[in-house]
Amino acid sequence: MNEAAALLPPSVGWLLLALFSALWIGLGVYWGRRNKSFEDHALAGRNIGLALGSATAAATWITSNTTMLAPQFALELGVWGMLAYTTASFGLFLFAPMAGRIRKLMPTGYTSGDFFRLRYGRTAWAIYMVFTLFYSLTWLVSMAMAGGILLNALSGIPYAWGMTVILGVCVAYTMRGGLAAVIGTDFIQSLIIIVGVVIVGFAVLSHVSVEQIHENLEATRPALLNVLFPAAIMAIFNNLLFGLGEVFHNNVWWSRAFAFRDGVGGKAFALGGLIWFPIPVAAGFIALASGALNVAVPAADMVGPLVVAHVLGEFGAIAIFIVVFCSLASSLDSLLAATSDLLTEDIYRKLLRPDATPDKLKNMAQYVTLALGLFTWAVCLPRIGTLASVLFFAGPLVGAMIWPIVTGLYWRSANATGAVGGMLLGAGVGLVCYFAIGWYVATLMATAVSMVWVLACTHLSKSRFDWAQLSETA
Amino acid sequence: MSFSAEFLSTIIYGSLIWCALTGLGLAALLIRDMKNGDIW
Amino acid sequence: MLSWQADGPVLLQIADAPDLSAPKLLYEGQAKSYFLSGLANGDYYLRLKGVGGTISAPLHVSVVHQSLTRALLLVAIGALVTLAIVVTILWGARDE
Repeated sequence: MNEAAALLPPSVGWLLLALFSALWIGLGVYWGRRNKSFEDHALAGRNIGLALGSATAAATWITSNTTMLAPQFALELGVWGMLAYTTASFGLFLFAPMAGRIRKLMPTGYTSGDFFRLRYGRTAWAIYMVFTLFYSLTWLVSMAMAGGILLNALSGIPYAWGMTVILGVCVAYTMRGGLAAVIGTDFIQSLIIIVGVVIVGFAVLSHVSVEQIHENLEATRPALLNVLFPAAIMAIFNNLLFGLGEVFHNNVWWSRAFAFRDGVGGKAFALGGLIWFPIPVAAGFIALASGALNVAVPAADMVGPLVVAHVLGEFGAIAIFIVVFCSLASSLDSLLAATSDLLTEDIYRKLLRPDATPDKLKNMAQYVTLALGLFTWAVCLPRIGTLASVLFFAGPLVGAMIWPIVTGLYWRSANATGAVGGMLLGAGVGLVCYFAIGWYVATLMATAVSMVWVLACTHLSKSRFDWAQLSETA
Repeated sequence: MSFSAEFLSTIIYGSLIWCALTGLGLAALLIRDMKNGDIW
Repeated sequence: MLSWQADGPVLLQIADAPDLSAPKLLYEGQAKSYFLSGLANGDYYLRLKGVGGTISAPLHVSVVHQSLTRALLLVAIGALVTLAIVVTILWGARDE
């Protein structure tokens, strides 16, 4: 990105950044005062209602990836690119019944790590922790980097400053307010994102009709309209499974399953999926308009902001800036909170200090959040571009965890041999495929191999798990 | 075989209207929760 | 991804014949680079036209997409795995 291409003057960028930072931190401090113990801090008192629950499920899943990558996918892979992206909402739809089951089996559970430890024992738990921490940390790093890069491209704010501010703000309000602050801000952020996407979408359509877009694509980029575009359809299920694995395994989603009030979980995740579902098309189609509007796109990942700024000028650039900032914050905060809870509960409380008081645990969780923020900041500062691509290695890892989790929740015959072997074999084969064939088969192969292994082990196993072992008393 | 202009406009307008409706729905849901006093 | 050096606005044209006998206009304006995507299989020729009428030498681009058979095979495996996951979750716990 060259500096001249910034869409907003830095002063406007800083002003917007300051306004929203103050808002989020203020809300974090305000909501944080409700939290007395670790349970309040990590799980918001286990009493989240339907409105906040649905909004947080959707908002957390709307990352900068959704609002920025959807246009990029549309430009590279066409209509299929957008449609395929909407399937990521299946992760939320399918997690809905699982969330109810998790709440029922583990009424006092805290984290997904608790599940692995109680269900499959220490070995499976250790592998799970390595996989999920790898995934969570690379995701944190890639989002903080994306934040710095996007703020720089949109407003010319230097990369290091933009990244520092966005990360610092999220750390500050997550530390102070815990999950309550994360979920409360998620509600506001999801409304802002939805309104922003709708306004921008209709504004673009008032400048160029769908017929014009279609005509231009047919003339200059016909493959984008091709129903059988190989590059677009071969990755559909790979990406779908990546999404499923992300939602099923990560403590971001499990902590919400524990935090939602009894009976809310299933509905909230299903509604969250419905809210999320149209976003990739609504945010992505503007990229297809770039040709008809005669917008030159120097790099595929900037197509969204460029088209919007071309059509709407400074107002559009401000709208995009706010939408991007909200989508980044709504995911960064969730990941910070969930990962810090995982480390606090699974490592500190269960391994090191079983007798820690609730108050002490809450303090510990806050320090872990701060430490995670500092770690992410230190890794992001040099801006090593290839770092973000490490996230793709996580595909096989999360894919290999799908079957152990699903069968572990529903089948008494699922066992540790199946889970450990499924995760290791699946991830191994997936990574080999990643290098030998390509990224677009890695998650698919990992999930398929792990499925075969897990099914074979459960079929041969005589053990029957006693569900009561999952509801350990805190 | 190509996606038609009608298909394209259906998914684009459909998704934008869907987004607008879910936005309103969320706001309505929050007001309902607030009235019952059980936001959280 | 194309980039070029120019002093003024340019026209970017594309055609499927080496002599660019029937060019289509891709872009017209001040930009210095352009992300090209979505072409069907085949050979393409691109050229730039400056304001003063200067014309660049054509650039040859060959587009070969992934095999459709392999793509459909991957879709089939993926559909099977996904379906199995959906069925397992919806079937739920039946042996309690």
